[in-house]
Amino acid sequence: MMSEPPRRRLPRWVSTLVVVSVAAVFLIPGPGRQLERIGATAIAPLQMGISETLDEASNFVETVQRVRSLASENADYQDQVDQLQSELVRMHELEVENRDLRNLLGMKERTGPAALIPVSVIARDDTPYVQAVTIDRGASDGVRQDAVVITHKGLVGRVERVNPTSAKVRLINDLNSSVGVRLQTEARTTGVLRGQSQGNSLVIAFIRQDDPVQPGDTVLTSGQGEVFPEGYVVGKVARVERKDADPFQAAVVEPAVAMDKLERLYVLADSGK
Amino acid sequence: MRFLVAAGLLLIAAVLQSIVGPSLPLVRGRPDFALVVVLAWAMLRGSTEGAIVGFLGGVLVDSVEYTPFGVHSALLGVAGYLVGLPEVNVNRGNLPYFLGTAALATLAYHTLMFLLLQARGLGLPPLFETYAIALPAAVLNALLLVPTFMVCRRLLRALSGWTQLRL
Repeated sequence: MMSEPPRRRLPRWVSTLVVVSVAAVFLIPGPGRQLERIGATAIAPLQMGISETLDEASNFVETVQRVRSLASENADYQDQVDQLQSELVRMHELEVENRDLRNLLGMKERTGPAALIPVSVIARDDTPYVQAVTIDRGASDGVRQDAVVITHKGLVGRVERVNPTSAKVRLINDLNSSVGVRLQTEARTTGVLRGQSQGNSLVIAFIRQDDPVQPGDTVLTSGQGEVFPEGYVVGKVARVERKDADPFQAAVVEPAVAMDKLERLYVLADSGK
Repeated sequence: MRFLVAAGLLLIAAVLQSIVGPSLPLVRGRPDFALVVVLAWAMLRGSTEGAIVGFLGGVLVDSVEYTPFGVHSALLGVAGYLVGLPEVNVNRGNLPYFLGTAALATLAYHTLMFLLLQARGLGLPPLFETYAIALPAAVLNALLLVPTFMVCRRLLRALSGWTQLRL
């Protein structure tokens, strides 16, 4: 066996430069953020391409698997459409009635829903430390820092880092996320919802023992904290943890949105800064 | 040219880590694709190139992941440097040593990540949850290192005419 040719060694100053660069990036936020923007902008198209291809492949496989049941599902959906249309008519009547009542009470009508920017998830950070997703729209599309992200089912999170063509969204089930919430009950109990390191559930801690909380109660954003606007659905109380010796109780909340299956989201264009 | 090839491999690894990794079925952990490339490169090319490639890989991973920027750059740079320190290729012909290095490097990487994030003031889960991710990742990384090492070796041979390096 022939001997391995000698490696051409790089000068010692190269190692020193690397160490200094690492320290600079790690210790000084400015250059690090710039580098991150450049990297994210360069990588985003690749992420989008691969993510779309994988989605297409997954959809194709799913369609093939479900081809037999599609006909019966189609009929079910038709029934649901009929039901929803009748529901829509009823909702319209309620809206008219609501408007009349507001006028009677002289209340200021809330402004309509904010403009929505549709976005797709192109990458996901799913570790014990971080629950976040990367979306395929950024500053050039009007996405702003702290903008609220939702689906048609409820609250998802908020934009925390904006790059020109992509943005990173911290999910509400992240361990370092907190959302001001209230329960849709007579007592209108408020609290702060936090993510947990494991699973899909969330917790409202420090609810007073005498506040009535029941499994099944709907949890909405309270508008406190000035990041999340009031009235967005967060989830439902799954169970209540109560100990007699403890002055507070905690509610475990099941989010309305399945955080592990995020695909199409909406960014509230008027939120954020 | 070598660094361009390394950058290409790391780019693929970083994108895979952000897209494919979290969706793996059955295991809770995921392979650290970028770490595997850095380990393979450092084993083949020594500590200085290991550090450079590690740092470059870290910047790419930091760009796609949500942890504070710089954490992966620092850790992968150090991993590349340390794993490449032996001046001779001690991994050659010694598969347990080769796989053990990958597994130990992965555990050290995750432990240091936990400590660095804690030092930066992030709320973190208990340490044992880190190992619930790190242990499967160590096994996956060790398994993945074999083909990655072979790909890197083949690429380096093609680039500089190396013909004698064997696992």
